[in-house]
Amino acid sequence: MNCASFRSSILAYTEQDFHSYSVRDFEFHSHECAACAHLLSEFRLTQEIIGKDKSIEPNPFADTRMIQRLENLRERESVWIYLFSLPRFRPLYLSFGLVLAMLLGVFLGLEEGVLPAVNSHNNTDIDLIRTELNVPDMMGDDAILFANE
Amino acid sequence: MTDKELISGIINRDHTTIQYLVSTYHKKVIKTAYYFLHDMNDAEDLAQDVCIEILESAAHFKGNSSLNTWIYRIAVNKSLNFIRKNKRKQLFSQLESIFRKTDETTSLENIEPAIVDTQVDDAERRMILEKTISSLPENQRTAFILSKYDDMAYKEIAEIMNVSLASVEQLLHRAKMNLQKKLVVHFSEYSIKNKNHELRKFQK
Repeated sequence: MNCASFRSSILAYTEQDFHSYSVRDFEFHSHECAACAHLLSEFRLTQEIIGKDKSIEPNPFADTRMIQRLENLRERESVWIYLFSLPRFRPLYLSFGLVLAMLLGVFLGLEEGVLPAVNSHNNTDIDLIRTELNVPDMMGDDAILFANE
Repeated sequence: MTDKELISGIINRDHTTIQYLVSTYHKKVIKTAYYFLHDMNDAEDLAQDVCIEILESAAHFKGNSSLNTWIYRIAVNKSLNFIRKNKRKQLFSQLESIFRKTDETTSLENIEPAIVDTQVDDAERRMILEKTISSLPENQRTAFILSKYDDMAYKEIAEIMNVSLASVEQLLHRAKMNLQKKLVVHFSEYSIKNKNHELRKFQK
């Protein structure tokens, strides 16, 4: 076994995923080559870290803190649910909703009503100028008269 | 308590069920998040978010998978999202530091090893391992962490990752090969650096 094949099979060896004849070759090379033996020991120590990390324990109060947070959330939710589900407040919510809908209607109506008002104002101005200058109204009855002629 | 009972208890915000949920899954989720994030505080915050998400979306749980799988799926997705966000933050802070032209001219490559010993110490070994695992593609990293750290069966990993059993085997094989390649390079480079450092010290 050479260094390249040794390095490509370190993990298989450390995980004992190897044929017995390969193990012999592998171990023979690690006795011969100091650099590869060093690499193998590094791999073993690195795998030990994974083992240590597996046994790591979170903060013992983490669960208590979590339960507390979820309880707070539950209480906050339940306050809103309680308020909305109270029968005596239902007419209030209903009337509030109706007022809101009315306000929205009025607002939309105002928005639409602005344009015609401006236009009519402009039209009266135009009519005034037309009568002053004696210009016939082509859009009204005069237009029909002219068409008949 | 069965999954159905647990889910209906969560939906009804039953105090005992919530306590059972936290005592059964919270620490497991913290540990899984820790294996992804390598920081206990971040892992605890993330586990809290996972529990809240479980509470909020329990009504949408269809029961296609087990509750355990569903919870782990949420934890894994949240961990991966956290890492993605962190990477973006790091990128922005790096860009900021470049534009600010701070005095920090040192880069990781220029740092001399603190120890002269050719053996890497535990903290550095851990750092190398974490860095190498983080450099793996997301799906390989997930399969590796769930298998090696969480000791999950391939079937369970397949359910969590929503892939086939064969895919999990393939992902794990690739992850191990990549990890081996990268660790060999890291440890070889490290011992060369240390030897050079020793040599320079000897020459001085």
